[in-house]
Amino acid sequence: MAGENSTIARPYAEAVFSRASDSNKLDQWSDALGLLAAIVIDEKVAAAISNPKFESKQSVSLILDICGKHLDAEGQNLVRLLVRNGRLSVLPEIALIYEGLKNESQGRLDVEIISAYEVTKAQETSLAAALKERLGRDIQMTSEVDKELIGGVVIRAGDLVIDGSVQGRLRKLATELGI
Amino acid sequence: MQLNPSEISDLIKSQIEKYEPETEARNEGTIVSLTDGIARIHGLADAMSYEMLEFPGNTFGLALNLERDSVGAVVLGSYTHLSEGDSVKCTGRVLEVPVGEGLLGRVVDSLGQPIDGKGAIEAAGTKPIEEIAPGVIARKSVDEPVQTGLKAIDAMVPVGRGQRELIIGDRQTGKSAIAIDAIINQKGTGVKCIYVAIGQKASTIAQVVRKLEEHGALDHTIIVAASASDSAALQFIAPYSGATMGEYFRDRGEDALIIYDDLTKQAWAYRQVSLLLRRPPGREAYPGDVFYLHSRLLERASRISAEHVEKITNGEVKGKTGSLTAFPIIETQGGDVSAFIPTNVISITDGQIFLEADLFNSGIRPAINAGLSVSRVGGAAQTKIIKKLGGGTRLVLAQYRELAAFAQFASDLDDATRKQLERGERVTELMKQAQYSPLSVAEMAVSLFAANEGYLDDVDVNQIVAFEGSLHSYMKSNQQALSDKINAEAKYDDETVKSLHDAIKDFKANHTW
Repeated sequence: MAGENSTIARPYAEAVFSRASDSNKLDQWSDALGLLAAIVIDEKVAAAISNPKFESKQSVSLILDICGKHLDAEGQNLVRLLVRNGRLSVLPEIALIYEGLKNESQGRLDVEIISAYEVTKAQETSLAAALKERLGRDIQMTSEVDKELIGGVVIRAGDLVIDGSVQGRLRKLATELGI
Repeated sequence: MQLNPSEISDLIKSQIEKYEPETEARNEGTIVSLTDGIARIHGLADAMSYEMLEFPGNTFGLALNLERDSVGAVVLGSYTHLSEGDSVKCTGRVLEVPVGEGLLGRVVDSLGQPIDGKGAIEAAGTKPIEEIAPGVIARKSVDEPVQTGLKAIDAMVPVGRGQRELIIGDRQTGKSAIAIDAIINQKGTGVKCIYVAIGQKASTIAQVVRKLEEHGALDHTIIVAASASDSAALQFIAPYSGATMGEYFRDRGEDALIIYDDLTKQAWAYRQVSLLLRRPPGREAYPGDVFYLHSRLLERASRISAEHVEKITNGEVKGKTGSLTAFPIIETQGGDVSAFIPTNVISITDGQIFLEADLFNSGIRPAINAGLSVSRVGGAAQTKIIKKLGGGTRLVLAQYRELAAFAQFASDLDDATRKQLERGERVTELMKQAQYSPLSVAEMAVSLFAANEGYLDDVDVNQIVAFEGSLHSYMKSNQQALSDKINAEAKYDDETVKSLHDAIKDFKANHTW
């Protein structure tokens, strides 16, 4: 269950984050965690590390070998710690929570914009400015096109969803009419 | 739905006219798991406790567990079309149901939607299903009676307006029958009734509706039905919905009567929901807050002062107190009142009517155990004349039970004992009453008076029921003025006593039974 995994992952992510901000290596850690998360969800690696015949020492060396030079000493220590505690599988959640913490500390927010038509540069900047004013954060925007919206945009910033699409309005009308 | 097409298009037209789409920022989350009607949702950081959540496909849910990374919600109704990964939106509103006079005479589900095919409900508005009960200052003590129309109850365990009187007993002991009779007897008194059916067979509910209709009692009654086939969540919220509908009348300075039939099943439904939400089980696997489940519900049944009514209605209604009387029903297993839920509800309510299978099977119906049934506040509210005449009934019956037990062994009894036994037999017989035939205050008074003054002593025990029936019809045809006077004033004075003596003497002398 996702809820349980995040509960397990949170202390690790918070520890990594505080270590990273102490040593001023936020971006390096971000890359390292991203890499580790990608490795862990790889099918072959996942099969190997969840195999009970595979010893923990082998798991460590497998992951460290894949990472090669991309992981510094502290990163390697994290891998050893996770293997010893049997928590390798929560690495993707750790990375996710870490990114959240990092964005929060830097006052940044990832915003996803889904629109029916391609968003122009000018529109993007005006949207970013409006959102910055409303949410009080620096906006990092990614955009996507979805023809099914018919018209308008849907703005997604974490849990907050601002639905200004024609599809959303039609759905609301349907709910109102009870169909 | 028995709507004609033009009505439908009118409805849609008016809704389209009113409809104003707004670009609204809302909290959204995704379903991570969906098991047995319980959805675990990731995200929804702003969800409130008991907030309505919107699922795809016009389905709603109730947020019950707010945790650090997820929200545990129960889906209200069918959940087969939902799947993992679907998005869920906050609505920013707690669960509400329609309230108002328009609901009277209707059968609705736990959400206040009509299920009787009589078209849309013209509600006066909507109100949240969870309301905090009136505080100490807003309340007024119970001093007006609710006449149930049952001799045994009105004489021995009187119920006042605003009281919570538990009806408890095994299955098939006539618990619902008492409640239905009480509803029927409210016809023409201005007391609005709400019958909340929880976890019952749909056929049983249909039968109740038909019986109420037959006796002309449906017009002042709202039926809230959460049948056995409805989801546990709907069964668990049904009493709260009913209470909200009843509070509307209470807060407008009117009197209402609500029946929860029955709270055992509601506790089962809540237990199911709680266990699925992974709340820790306690005694009998009920969650820790099962006491609060019932106490907060029953606390809403209350009598409120005229000042409070005036305050709530902004001065619209003046000088009228409001009340909501509750008859919760609890079903025991094999007469075991020391189980968890029965002890809880007994301790919450202001008294109980205890029904026994043995009495029921030996033909004493309503099968009320006079020794164990009590009313803690009703005495203050009892009609004067019934209080005077019925006061001794309890005692006579209790003594009779005691004597009857040991009199079986004694061959010859002294006169006093035999007299007591005979009196007890007759009173027991007199307390019997057929279903769906509630009595007026005058009818009750005449019966009790006859017993107290010894007019029954020379009537054969087997003839008591027939005697009473004939006496009532005699009163109706020959003593209308006296009956009307007792019904209107309900006073016990010398004049009434004399008239009653004369009437019964006349009846015994000149009529047969």
